[in-house]
Amino acid sequence: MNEPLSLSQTGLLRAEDLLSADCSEVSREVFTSEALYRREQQRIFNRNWCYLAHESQLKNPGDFVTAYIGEVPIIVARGGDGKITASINSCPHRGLKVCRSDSGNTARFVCPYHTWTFKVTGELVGIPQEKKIGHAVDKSNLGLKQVPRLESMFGLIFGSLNADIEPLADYLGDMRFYMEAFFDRFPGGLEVVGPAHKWQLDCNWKLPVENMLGDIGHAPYLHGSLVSPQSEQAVEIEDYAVTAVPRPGHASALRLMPADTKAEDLCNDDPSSPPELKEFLTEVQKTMADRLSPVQARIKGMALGVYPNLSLLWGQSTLRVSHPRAPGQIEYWSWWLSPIEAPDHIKAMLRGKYNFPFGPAGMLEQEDSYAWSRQYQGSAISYLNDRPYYYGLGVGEESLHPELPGTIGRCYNEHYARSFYDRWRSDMFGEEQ
Amino acid sequence: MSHDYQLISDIEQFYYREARLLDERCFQQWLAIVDQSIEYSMPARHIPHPDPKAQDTEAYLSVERELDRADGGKGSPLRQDGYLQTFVRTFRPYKSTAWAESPAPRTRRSITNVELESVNDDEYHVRSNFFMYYSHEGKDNHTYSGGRKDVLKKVEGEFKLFKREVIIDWDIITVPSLALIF
Repeated sequence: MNEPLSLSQTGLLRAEDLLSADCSEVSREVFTSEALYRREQQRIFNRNWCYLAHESQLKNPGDFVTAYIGEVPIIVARGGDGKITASINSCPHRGLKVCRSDSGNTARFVCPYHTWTFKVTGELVGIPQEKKIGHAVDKSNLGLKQVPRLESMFGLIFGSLNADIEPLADYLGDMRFYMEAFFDRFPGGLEVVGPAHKWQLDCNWKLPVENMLGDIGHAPYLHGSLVSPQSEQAVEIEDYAVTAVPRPGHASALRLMPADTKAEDLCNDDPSSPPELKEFLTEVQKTMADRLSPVQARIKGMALGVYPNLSLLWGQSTLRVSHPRAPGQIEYWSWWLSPIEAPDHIKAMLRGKYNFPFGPAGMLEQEDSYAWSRQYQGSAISYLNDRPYYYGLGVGEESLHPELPGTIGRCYNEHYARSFYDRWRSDMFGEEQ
Repeated sequence: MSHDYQLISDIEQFYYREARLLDERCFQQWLAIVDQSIEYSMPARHIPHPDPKAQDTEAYLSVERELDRADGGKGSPLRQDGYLQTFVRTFRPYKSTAWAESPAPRTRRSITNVELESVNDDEYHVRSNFFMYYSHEGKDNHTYSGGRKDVLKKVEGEFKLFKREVIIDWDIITVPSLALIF
């Protein structure tokens, strides 16, 4: 018998057994190992900036939404003083969640077990038993533990459990160039509309993330029932699409269109869009120079991702987070982002671009979900632990670009994923900070 | 309203036939009982914060508060389909590249609690529940449950579906896809 031992069986976790030097080979155990999963919680989710909520969800004092950093439940709230805070949603007395709602507006959260009561921002304000026993309790250290770092950019609120993390702007680096191109597209900005759509998937959290960092090559294949490889759109993607890696772990997939491209061809992806929608998007495109650089205005975006687990589908205006729950299970949360100043009937058309192809009832999403869950089943075949996955498409082809920041590879080059696993490796196996 | 047993029985028969067409994967035949003006929606379902002012009343546990509908452009339902989207959903499974459904899942729908709420002119407002067993590729087995609020009309003597709202029972959805027909 020469069945390879799994790393979790041997207790050994060595980067060189998991990834080849250039990350063109990725071990199946990167997706399935329980030991790696536990380490990811410590070394990835507890140390990086993680997306929590959008500022538009917290318009008024007392507004809150719940979120996660990895497996850690968080309450993000706007306090009475207008400041946004993030608290860990676990009572300091016996650990229950003090907030069991997805969102709302409240003055107080109450723990079910003994009615310890907290402000929306986490300060402990009441212990009903305190007076009865006649023993004063120092409440100052018994509030909900605060997320030590909180910063916003483009309306996106990020939190970090790592008090010493670099500022968010540095963490994003040149990723901001690509984020600006999406988030500053619309005059008046974007807002999250409605609740998060949440569903469970039997896959590893990294696969959806990797997909949206730049796997634009899968669309006409996995989604072949709806996306034809011969369509104008697919041909345009093969001709103009690139993936940009401004910093390992972050990436964006986009088409950089030639300078003489007409406004109506720059802003709209879907030949079947109703004329009013095309007109609206074209008008927005014509004002792009007020907000974006000429190169940013020529970007016809597709997807982007911020390390570790935030993704955005650009043309479908959906923001999503892959929350880890087990090596082979995630909770996938997705939101529809809508231009604030769009008329109602335009918003309804834009919403259709999200919830028909994507979300829990999405025509394309079901295929992605299927592929991701089946990848996990394949990854769990321990007999194949000596056969790492091939991530070598286009290796070495990526290079610097005269107009776009970061390392740029053509459509089908898998460098966006190689650099993600490179970042993952340095987080997981680098020196302790 | 008075009980028109013949009418109720006719509506039940319509639903049983509809369920059979879907379970037998005759989506094109199913589409023939759908009017071209169809509005097929599925609100998102979430957990709102309890409203303390509504305590001790039924409003405190209102299901409506948990539903997020289209509301013009102000809401984010899971589904807001017209005929075109409905057509695409029924057309797609017959492609060899419809990977999520090849091999095809086996489904069995039970339709229950058929309640004729009202008849307004030519519109029949009907509520029903569905319970669907879904089995895909061996051990990938799931149960779906939900409610439906329909508007049916008679066209040339036969019922046609003009409007359907599907109410799901999850906040975190644990079934593989809600892109199916319910």
